[in-house]
Amino acid sequence: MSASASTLIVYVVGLSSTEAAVFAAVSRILRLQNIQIKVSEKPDNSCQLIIIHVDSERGKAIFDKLKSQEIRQHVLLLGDKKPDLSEAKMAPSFLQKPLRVQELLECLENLNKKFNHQSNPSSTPKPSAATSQTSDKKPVPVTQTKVAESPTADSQNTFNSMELLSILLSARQEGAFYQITNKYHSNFWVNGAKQEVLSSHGAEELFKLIGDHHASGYIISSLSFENFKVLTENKISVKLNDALWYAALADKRGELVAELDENTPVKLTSWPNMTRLSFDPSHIRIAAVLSRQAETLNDLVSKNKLSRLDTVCFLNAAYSIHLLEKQDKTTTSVDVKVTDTKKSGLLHKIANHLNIKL
Amino acid sequence: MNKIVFTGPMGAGKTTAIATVSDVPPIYTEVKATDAEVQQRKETTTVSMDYGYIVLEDNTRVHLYGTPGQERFSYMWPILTEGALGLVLLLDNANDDPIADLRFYLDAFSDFIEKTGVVIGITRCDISQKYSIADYQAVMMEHNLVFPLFEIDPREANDVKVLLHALLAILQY
Repeated sequence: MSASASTLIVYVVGLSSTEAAVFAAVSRILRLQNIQIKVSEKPDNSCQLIIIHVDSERGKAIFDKLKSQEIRQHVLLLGDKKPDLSEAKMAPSFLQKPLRVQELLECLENLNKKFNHQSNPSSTPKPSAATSQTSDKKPVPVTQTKVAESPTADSQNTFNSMELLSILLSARQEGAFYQITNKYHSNFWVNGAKQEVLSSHGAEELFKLIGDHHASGYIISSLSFENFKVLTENKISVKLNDALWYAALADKRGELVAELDENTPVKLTSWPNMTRLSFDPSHIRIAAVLSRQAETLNDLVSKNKLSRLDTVCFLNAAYSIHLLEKQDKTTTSVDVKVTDTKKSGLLHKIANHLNIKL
Repeated sequence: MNKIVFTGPMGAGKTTAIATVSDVPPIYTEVKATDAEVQQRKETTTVSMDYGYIVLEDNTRVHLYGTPGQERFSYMWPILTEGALGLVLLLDNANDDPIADLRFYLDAFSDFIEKTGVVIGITRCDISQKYSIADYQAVMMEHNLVFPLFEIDPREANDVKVLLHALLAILQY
């Protein structure tokens, strides 16, 4: 089977469902660029590229078998770490897991260019066959694919999970399109312009993922609108504001967002929709105080015996969804109203009865 | 007398909310609806009030009163709110003009709200998305009021509890 100039014939081994989904997404993007990805059922001569997940049992077996052979096809390895290639007769490319759309996309684009360049421009490319097995073609180095720097291309950065809040805020501010990848869970996408987050999950599952502060190493890819559109086809949309709320509560660094500082009084302009958002019981108390009067972080914590971390999380969350406003630093804090002891006792008893921590 | 008053237009879920938290099956004063408008919405409606209560650890009773939804019974509202701890206002998002309802109840209970406090539950948001929480928040801001305003399902005990939690917090702090 011969391939056209815009066809890349690929044999894949051992991809997990997530990696297969990334591969499918990249195939869709490449199709928009008039590069057809054809998946071959076997690694025969028509194949140009063999993608092997070396951490899978089958992938490892095939790689062990192939590495001592001089094969015509180019090999792209996926895995947690580069395998030992000291005795290999091939020069495979390598992409470290988690497999990312941007990296795989660029890798396949480069390989496609390379194969087309090596082939007769006026005829169907014969993958690596265009060069003989003993040719002096330069192998693709074993390296992670670098990110394209073209302003029109997607770009990529790695962040700590704690910084997800800043990433989401930045997406909103810039109206950007981001893909957010983490090795512990599947991708989600942020449309800063429409202020929504898209994923394969329902809202509850997505917020659970966002709230998982144990997950680290978010990879953020800035996408073009075209790529974003393809990747988010049929995905479930939730409000960016809701995602911001969960990201702020999950951020346990205890630092206020850049726009707030601990000495500037802040006041609540509206209450968060707490029945539809997760919250710590102390957040209701903080909201009750800040709906009455402006307070600085320090005063709020000390006067009300609140946890500083929980208070910071609440302030960041409320500010991120535009429910908090800064007041003039000269605003003098009025003492919180004093509820008479009898009434206060009654309110606490009602709270106890309802299993509420007041 | 220790009491919390539930108010709002008919069909907003006052009776259901009281039943959700009351220790005893509430006493309903519901009758078959005869008004054309009411009939379109539900088969029965509250004509005087709903009543339930919770009994605290020291045997103190906290009474839960639901006002009748129809405006013609508004003469009862000051009687019911006299000495009450706070107000729970429920609004039906699927109503014709729930924003006007919010304005109406804020004005009708303004003195009481100023002295105590109010929490607002927006019900039936799953039936109608005509107005969002932000629309209601805008009205609250117009009135210079910052009180808890949540989307709730009065059949869900947790939703009603969060609403009451917020009421207790604003009364306490």
